Amino acid sequence: MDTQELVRNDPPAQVDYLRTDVDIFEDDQALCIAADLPGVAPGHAEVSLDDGYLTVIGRVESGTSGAAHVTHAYRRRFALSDPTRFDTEHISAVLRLGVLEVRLPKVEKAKPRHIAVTVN
Amino acid sequence: MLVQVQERRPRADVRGLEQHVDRILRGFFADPGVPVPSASSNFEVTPDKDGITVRADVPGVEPSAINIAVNDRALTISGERTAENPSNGKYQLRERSYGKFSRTFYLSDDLDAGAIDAQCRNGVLTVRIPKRPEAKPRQIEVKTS
Repeated sequence: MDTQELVRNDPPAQVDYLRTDVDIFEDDQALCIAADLPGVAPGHAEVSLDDGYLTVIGRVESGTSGAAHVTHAYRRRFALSDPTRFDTEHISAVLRLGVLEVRLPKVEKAKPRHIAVTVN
Repeated sequence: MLVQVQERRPRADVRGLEQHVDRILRGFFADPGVPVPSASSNFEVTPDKDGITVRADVPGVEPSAINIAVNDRALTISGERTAENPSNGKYQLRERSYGKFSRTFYLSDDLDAGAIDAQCRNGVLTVRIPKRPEAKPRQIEVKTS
């Protein structure tokens, strides 16, 4: 059974994005990605899934609102080896204590069907 | 020299090796008697005309797990990020660091150790130590008789 659900595929580092640490955890229910985004306030993190690529971005702003400007941003990208394994409609993302947790639930596998055998 | 052998992780990148070497080197250069932190934490110290600001990235650390203590002129910032150890699954990739961290700074005499302010927001700890009022730049009025 292929247990490698994700293929890491970071594009070459761009000038404005910093790489940050992530953990990827997988169980029967879902694939969970936890990304350290210190200094990223709620509303400044984004998660997108596009053509099998999952992108996590977090922007750090400094200065008071009105004079706030983006000082730096974190980004990680991953390629899903098989996007059809996931229920992409129900991806969730929670930002807490500067950590973004993205959860990709797995599609429920078709349960085995038992066919009754009738005896004639 | 005893070198800790880590099990090979095919998907671990060079950064894991860098952190491992960093930990070994810190073990050699740390003060004797000061515990070597196992979790790395980025600290940034910025002085200005009114005091000093110490910032540290502490993502995933509960503010209640952060301890800031002043002993004489030594300011120690420590804390811990506890690792989640869920069962029934496995890690495909594990880069985030866990465990205790600790850093001690020695405050110069012009700083007011009794007026330290600490805030933790969005995984960033900001500690502000102002200068003593008498140490701040001030204008002295020239009196005419």
